[in-house]
Amino acid sequence: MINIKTLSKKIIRKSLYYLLLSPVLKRTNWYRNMFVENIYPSNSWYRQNPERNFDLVVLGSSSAKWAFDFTNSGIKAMNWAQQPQTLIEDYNLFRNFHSILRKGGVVLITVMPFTGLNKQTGLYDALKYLHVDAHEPIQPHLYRKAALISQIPLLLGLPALKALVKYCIGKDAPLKSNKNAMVNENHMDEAQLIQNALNYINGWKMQFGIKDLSNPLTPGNLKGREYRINLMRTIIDFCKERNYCPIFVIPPMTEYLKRHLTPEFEELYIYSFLREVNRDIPTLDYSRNETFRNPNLYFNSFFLNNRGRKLFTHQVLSDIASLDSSIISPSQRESLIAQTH
Amino acid sequence: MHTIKLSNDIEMPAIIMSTNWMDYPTMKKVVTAGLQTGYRAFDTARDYGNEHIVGKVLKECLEEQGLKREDIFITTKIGNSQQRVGNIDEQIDISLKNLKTDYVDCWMMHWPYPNYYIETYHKMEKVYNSGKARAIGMANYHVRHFNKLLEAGIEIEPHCVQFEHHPMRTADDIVQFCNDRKITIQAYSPLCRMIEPIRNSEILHAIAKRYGKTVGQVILRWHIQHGSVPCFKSVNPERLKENFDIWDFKLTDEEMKEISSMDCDYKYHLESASCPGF
Repeated sequence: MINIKTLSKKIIRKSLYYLLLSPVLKRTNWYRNMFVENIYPSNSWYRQNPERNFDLVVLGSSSAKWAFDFTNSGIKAMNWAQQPQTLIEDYNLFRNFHSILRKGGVVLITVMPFTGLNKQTGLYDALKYLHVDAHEPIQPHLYRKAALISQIPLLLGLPALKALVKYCIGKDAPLKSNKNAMVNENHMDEAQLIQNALNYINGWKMQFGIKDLSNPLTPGNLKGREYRINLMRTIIDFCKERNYCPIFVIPPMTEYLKRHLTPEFEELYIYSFLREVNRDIPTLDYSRNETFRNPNLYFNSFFLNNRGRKLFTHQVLSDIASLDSSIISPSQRESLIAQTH
Repeated sequence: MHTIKLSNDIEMPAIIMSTNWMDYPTMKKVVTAGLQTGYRAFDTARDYGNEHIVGKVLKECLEEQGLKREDIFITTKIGNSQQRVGNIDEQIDISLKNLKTDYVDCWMMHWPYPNYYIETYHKMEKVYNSGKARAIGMANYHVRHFNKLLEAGIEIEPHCVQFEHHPMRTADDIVQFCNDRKITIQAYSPLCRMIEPIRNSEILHAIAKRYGKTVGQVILRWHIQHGSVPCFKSVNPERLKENFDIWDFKLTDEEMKEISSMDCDYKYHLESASCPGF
């Protein structure tokens, strides 16, 4: 028979352990690094910031995060891309915060090499968006578990204990920083760029269970693709119903990475995906743009640096401005042209 | 008391005091002062978390000032979480209990909550037919929401709609739609929170000076002459008096146009941040 007294003591001890140590753990950079910065126009944001009627928002993952810099562009824009971010998170961010856009505002939907495949969502993905001030979860998968862990991070077990020890002995992890990305030159040499590109390719292959990039899609990836096609359609229809202008953007990459992604790969993973989405929206494709092959515009083999971001943003804004008037109204076009010159 | 007639002949006061997010002591002070000033309409919502305080304060204040329930007009709203639960007929009873009354004068759905709002409206129609709400309507609708609702078919035409409306957001499309269908407009944030472009507007200051009024009074008068019913919040009894002193002057057509020219589709409240999928 269970000894009630012993059990109570155990429960109290455990509770005290979790309750007392959690506040300490929450002060660590290890804990803070788990969450994305609250950069979105939420209920608390708009009460502090009078700016409204933004011209453009960016949805996407890592390459989108590092592709744009709208500073001094004359365009009121917000880049909502995070590193990494999936389509469901894009959609939920947009559902929660789209009212910051003006009527007819532009929604740049960034398409990366594997946007057409679905990835498994883990606990850390769920944790990432938990502190975003939104009425509905940005990442609904494992939401409750993530919410509990954000309150009692010790539940993460060993990693939490390690972080706690490091914090106590003054060896806390450094806070996430964008320092590496804020350069004007690529500090990698050729060998490093080759290796960096290979790391990306191998990482993606492992993530999606791909043996050879020229092989047909696996049954799992075909299923993921079907899900992504429907989700992409939903995002585009959502934009159009609200009279926004969704535009696909395929960002560039260095020659070192590009050489792994053959035309056959692009057809299989990118272009056929976009065709199957089957929505009549413009696509701005920079994957073959020679200007942006230059590695000096990047800080590794994939992500644009300060200089690259400014150049690329200007290029994209100019291209949006010159789009057909059925997509961008004459007044919008004039406004964009005026702002980009 | 200046009133506006809804399409079902119910009379609604032409200016409304909002009670959102007020606690009991504040609300008691504000409602007491409001009733003494002449206000007879009060706005609340389940989402403000204080419907029960509104009920308690109104009951006390009516007794204290020798007024009856039928002397005042109460608007409340049903929130998204109640729409999700779906028991709309039970939700009105909860609101009535909170508000210590047998009926509300106007019952609105707070948001066109995606996937729910059409069904909610159909259930609200039944509540209207039961007499527990003398008028029904909605808040924060765009024309596209009205169109979807109409496509789905309705039995009772909405009587009233509440949305953010002020000189920086004239919302001409929604106003036109409402005028065409005889839906009365309640304007929330009618002064756009007196943000800087309103506070320092040369247009508004010039007109205010002409009539010896404040910028706020000029804007409230602009609402009245538009036929929209301003629904504002203040916890300052002096401000309540000031905002009620708008019946002794009339803006010219030219002044009305000048004020409307401030429109830039500026919404202080970002709708999707309160109602995901808006």
